[in-house]
Amino acid sequence: MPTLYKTIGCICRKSLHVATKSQTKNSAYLQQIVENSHSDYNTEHGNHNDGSHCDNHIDVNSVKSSILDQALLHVAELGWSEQAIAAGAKGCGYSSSASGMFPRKGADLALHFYQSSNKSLFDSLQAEVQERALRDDDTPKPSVQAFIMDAVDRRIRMTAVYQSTWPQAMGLMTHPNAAGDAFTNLGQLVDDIWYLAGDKSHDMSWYAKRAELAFIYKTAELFMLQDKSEDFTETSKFIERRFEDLGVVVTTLSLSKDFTAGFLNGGMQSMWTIAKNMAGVYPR
Amino acid sequence: MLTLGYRNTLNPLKKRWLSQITFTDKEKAIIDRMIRVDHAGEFGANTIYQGQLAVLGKTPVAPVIEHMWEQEKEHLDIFNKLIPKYRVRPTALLPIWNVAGWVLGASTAMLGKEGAMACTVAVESVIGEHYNDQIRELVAINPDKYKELLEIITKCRDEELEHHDTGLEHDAEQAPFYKSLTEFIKVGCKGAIWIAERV
Repeated sequence: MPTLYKTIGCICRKSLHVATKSQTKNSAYLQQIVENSHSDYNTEHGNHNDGSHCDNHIDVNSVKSSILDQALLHVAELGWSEQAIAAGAKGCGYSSSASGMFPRKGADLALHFYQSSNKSLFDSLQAEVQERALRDDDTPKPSVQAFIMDAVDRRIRMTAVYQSTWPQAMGLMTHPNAAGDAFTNLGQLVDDIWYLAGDKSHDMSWYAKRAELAFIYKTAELFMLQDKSEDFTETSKFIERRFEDLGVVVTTLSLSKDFTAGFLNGGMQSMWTIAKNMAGVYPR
Repeated sequence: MLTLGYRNTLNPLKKRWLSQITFTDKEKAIIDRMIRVDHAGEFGANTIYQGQLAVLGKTPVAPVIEHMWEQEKEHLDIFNKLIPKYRVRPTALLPIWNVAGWVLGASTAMLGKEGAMACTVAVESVIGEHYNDQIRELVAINPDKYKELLEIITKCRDEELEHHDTGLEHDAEQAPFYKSLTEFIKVGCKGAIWIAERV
């Protein structure tokens, strides 16, 4: 704990001795202090985020994420657990009781991993897309299907590093207090991929595309868990087959309106069109 | 966090990600809500005029309605492009707005040309007010950052209010039960706006 105090102490030294009463209360309290001083800071200085005033200011989120990043190194032996977070905190030079900052324990760690993997996938794909845009036009662009397949494959490989312990993480993320965030993360992932693939949909196909891709991703993730092939070649083949099955749906950027309408509305729209035609009022 | 990269479209030889505007999560949430509801609104307006034309397509008032529909199509087109650009989720209730808008347009048109115009007056006055609220909100936050959105919303607002005036010019007030009819439609529109901002 002393090191943690030292780092956050510069923000509010006075209140710290109050905070030593109980372990969990303590960390929640520290967090509150940091967040309060954060908002004070913002109102004082307006929108200046240039960092020049921030020298003695520590962002609680960056402390948290550095602890969790360090904790990931211990997941292989300790699982997605409070122990792994404690080991991570120690690795960052904080007391192991800093793990109290994460009330959802292993689930917080798994969600952090999911989120940061999403971000690194997005960053690397975006860099490639931008680079391609800068280059001359004669280099061929990958097809939408190839682009998405590659993205799913890469993302699965990030998770595959934790193949043996991932089922535990999946279980933790279905827990009611984490399921919402886990769902948001999955949604973020498929939305990122479609956005970078150049999707311009603005109707119900928006939902159809994302639902299909989320389905493919989740099944590929399950397949990966039992894949014993070298370098996960079987998983890659599995992903390819899934895209072939669903080829028409996912590979075209402009889906026919009737198809998506049928897919999600259970034919509601087409029935409506038929009714209008029968009444003879459909505008030509 | 959302970063928009603008490519230089004026000079195709120099394809660059010229300027970048970054929005915080809070700002992104505001933009999301606005573009989603505006897109849904323009979509609904399109179906209303479509419904009106289905009934009044062969009457002398048809060209007036067609002109307004053309402008609505243009608006919808703009918001169709803004949805992917700002990465906004479109409203999940589009099929419902499709049917509801058409039924509203067709049923008021069955009361005659005045009924259709009364419907236009009611809808457009709510939409105009709604766009004004958005303009006020954006100006209060940061008018420079939301320049593009402000320009689009202002243009739409002006044209919607034009439709409102057109409706009044074409005897909207002669419609049967004008007062209660417009009040009823206004309440419905406000409810639809509330839902479309969220779902």
